[in-house]
Amino acid sequence: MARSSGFSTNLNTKRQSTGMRPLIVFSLISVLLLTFYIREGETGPIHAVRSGVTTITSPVRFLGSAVAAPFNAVGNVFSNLTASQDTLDELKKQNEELTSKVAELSEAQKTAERLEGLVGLQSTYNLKSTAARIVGASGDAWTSTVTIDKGSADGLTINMPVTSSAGVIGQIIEVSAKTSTVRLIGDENSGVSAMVQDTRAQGMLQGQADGTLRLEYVSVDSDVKVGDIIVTSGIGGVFPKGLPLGTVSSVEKSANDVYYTIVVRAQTTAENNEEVLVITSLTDEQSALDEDVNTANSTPQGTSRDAATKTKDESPDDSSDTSETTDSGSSE
Amino acid sequence: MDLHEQGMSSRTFVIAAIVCVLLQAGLAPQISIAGGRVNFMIILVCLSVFSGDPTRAVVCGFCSGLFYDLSAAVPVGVMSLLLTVGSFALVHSAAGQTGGTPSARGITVGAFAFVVNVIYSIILLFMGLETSFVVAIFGHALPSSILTGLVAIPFLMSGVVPQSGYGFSARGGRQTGMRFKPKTRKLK
Repeated sequence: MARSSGFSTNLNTKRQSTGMRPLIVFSLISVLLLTFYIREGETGPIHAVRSGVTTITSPVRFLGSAVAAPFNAVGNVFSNLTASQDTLDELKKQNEELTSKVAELSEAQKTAERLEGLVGLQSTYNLKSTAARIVGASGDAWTSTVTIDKGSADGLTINMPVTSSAGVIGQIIEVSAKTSTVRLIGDENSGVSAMVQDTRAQGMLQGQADGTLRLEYVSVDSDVKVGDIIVTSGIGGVFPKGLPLGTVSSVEKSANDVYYTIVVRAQTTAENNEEVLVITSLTDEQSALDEDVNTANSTPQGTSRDAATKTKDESPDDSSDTSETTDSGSSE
Repeated sequence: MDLHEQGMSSRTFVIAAIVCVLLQAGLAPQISIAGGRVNFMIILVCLSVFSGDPTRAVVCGFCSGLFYDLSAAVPVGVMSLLLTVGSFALVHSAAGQTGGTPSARGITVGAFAFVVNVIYSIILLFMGLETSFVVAIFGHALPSSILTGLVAIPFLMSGVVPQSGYGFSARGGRQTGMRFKPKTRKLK
C-alpha cells in the first residue's frame, strides 16, 4: 500500500518537470553575466572568457573566410552556370576555368595594389604598424565589426587604430591570442576626432544607425563644402593625425542651428580578405601636440579657405595636401 | 526499441548542435543580406524545442545564447537570457508542440527569431548600443529573422526533429497526450 502511494507521488513529480527550475537558474546566471560584463569595463573575466572562445573558434573563422573567398571573387561564374548547353559542355568548362583564373588573377592584382598602397601609406606616414588580414565580419546584425587574423600574440591591444591603404577603417575593441575584433568607423558606437583638411575645422566623425558617417559638432561659422576631405585630427590620442577618413557628401544647416549636419562618404570599406595595417604606436610627430589642442580649442571653426590656401602656397613643400601632418610624416 | 530510437535522436541532435555551432562561428560572419545575418543558435534552440524535453530546450537555449554572446562583439548575457526564456515559452506554446511540415516549422522558427530579435533590439536601444528603433527593427531584426527562418528549413527537413507532432492536448503539456512516454518505470 505504502509502495503504491510512493509510486504515484514520483510519477507526478516527473510530469511536473517543465523546465521551470533550469529557466530560473539560467535566467539568473544570464542577468548576473550581463551585470558583470557591464561593470567590468574593457578587461575582466568575462572578456577573458570571450577571448578564449574567440581563440578556440578562430580556426573555424579562418576556414569560413577561406570558403567564402572564392564566392567574393567569382560570383559571376554562378550566374553563367545556370545557362545549360549540352553540346558545348567542354567549351563551357574551359570558359568557367578561364573566368575563375581571370577572377583569381584580378583578385591577386587587387591584393598587390592594396599591399602596395599599404606600404605607401606606411612609408608616407611613417607608421609603426603590423599588417593583418580581415577574416570575417560581425556574427551579429547589430554591430559593424570585422575580425582580423592578428591578436595579442602579435602585440595588438585594445584601442589600436586600423587602416587600409585608403584610410582609417576602425579601432580594435576585442583581442584574443590570434584574432582581434575591429569596430568600423561606420558603427553607431564609433567616434573619431576629425577635421576638415583644408580649413582645419574640428569635429567628431560618428557612425550612424543607417551605416552612414556624420561629422558632428562642426560650428556653422566654419567653412565646409561638399567634396572637402575629412582627416583625423589626432586630438583623441588614438589615431595619428592626418589619416584620410572620407569626403563630405552633403552639408546642411537649418535656421538657428549651432552645428552643421555634415554627411561624410567613407574613404574605404572593409572587405573580406582585405589587407589592413594595425597602428601599434604613435610617434611624437603623429600625436597632436599641446599647441594643436590649444588651437583646436580656441578656433574650433578652423580658418577660412582663402587663408588656408594662402598658407599652403607659402609652404615650401606644396606637394603635401595634409599640411603639417604629412610633412612631419615624410620628414621621418 | 523505444530507448534505442531515443538514443539515435539524441545523437542526431548532438550532431546538429555541433553543425550549428560551427556554422555560427565560421559561416554566419560571412553572410549578410540586406543588413540581416543568420542566427544558427536560434535554429538550434528551435530544433531542441521541436525534438522534445523542456529541460533540454531551456539548457540548450542558455548554452546557445551564451555562445552567441561570446562569439560576437555584443553584451554578454542578453541573448542567453532571451533564448533561455524564449525556449521555455516556445516549448510550452502550441507552436512549439504541434507537428507540421518543415516549411510550417520554418515559419515558426522565423516568427520566434523575429520576436527574439525585436526584444534584443529594444534591449540594445535601452543600453544605448543602438540609436534608431526603425533601423534596428527593419534593418536588422526583420531581415535576420527571415534569413534564419529560411536557413532553418534544411535543418528541419534533415530528420533532426520528428516530422509528426505529439498530438493535441487540451492541457498543453509535452508529457500529456503522448502515446509513447519517453521514460517508463518498472513496477517492483
